[in-house]
Amino acid sequence: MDEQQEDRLEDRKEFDKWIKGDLTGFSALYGKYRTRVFSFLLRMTSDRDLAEDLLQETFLAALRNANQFDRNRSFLSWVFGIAHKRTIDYFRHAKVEREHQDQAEKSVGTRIETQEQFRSNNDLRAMIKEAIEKLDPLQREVFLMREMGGIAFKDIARIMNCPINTALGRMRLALKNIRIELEKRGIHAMQ
Amino acid sequence: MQCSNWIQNGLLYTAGELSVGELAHFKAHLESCGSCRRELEIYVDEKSRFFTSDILLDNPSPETDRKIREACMKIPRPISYTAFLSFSLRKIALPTVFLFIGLGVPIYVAYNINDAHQNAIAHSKATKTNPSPKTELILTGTQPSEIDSLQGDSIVQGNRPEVLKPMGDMTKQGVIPVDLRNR
Repeated sequence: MDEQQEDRLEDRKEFDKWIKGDLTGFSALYGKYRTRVFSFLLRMTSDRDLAEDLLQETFLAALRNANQFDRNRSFLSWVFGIAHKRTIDYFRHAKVEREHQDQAEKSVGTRIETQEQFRSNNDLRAMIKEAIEKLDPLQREVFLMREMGGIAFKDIARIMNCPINTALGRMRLALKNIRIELEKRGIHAMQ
Repeated sequence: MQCSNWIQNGLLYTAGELSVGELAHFKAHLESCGSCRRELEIYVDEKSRFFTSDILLDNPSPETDRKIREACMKIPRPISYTAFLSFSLRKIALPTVFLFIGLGVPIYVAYNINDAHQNAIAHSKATKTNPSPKTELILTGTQPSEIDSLQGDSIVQGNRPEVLKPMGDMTKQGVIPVDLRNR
């Protein structure tokens, strides 16, 4: 049995614990995955407060819809699927608001910058985050699910409702674009 | 320019998602393809230097953590179908069965005891007032063949045949019943 399968079995045990009424089951799953799900939401929205709200919504939705959890899938991929839907919902609702906000900012002449933009360019972490944020949202989503969540490509394809080759194509483009961004800043792979 | 094999299988190989056959094929290809080896090396290097948890991951604030844990504890846990079945069996079906057994058995027994008691009383009264039809038949001189023929439904069901004449208790008058069938 490989590590991934062991992990999945462990998650299932915790999930069953929670279903049977033992609250430590949920606590364990939340503690294990909150960072990865939160980071995914943060990179997708570029807004810490919003990412925290979406994190809460994601886990609450997971709990409310626990009956729909397919035990053949990994718990994390299921939670990422919910986070993906929450992000899409947010972008749909925020679209109109953002248009209004852009107009308001133009009239005032200022733009609220994220904390990351104030960081030094020498900071590798900040540069990589910036490179990720510059990705097309679909490429970014595949990249984050794969690199942060370790979600299998077939599961990513299912979550994003696209063929697996499309998911692979987006991942290749994401890697290529990150590489280009980092090279612009003088950071090269295989140094 | 990336090799078509890398485009098709490279990322699946790094994710461990190739089937056994595809894996063997791709490994064999890696031995002979410098471009694929190079792509693999670059990706592995990027993964180990840039895409690490230190760089990619952030923690939610402790306040958010606390809020989420509290909110999640308030949500009623879902009931699975098997749990629901077991719950209904325990809470509804079994008590109903026990209720029926608990009430039904005593009622049935009480009714039957009462009925049996009344039957016994009726039977004892009947035997006191009316001697058995068979004795009466014998006493009125009816032939055994006739007796046998009369032992059908009419006597059993209590319908007395017309040949019967109630004679009272003949033993009091000194008549001793004799079984004629043995003669």
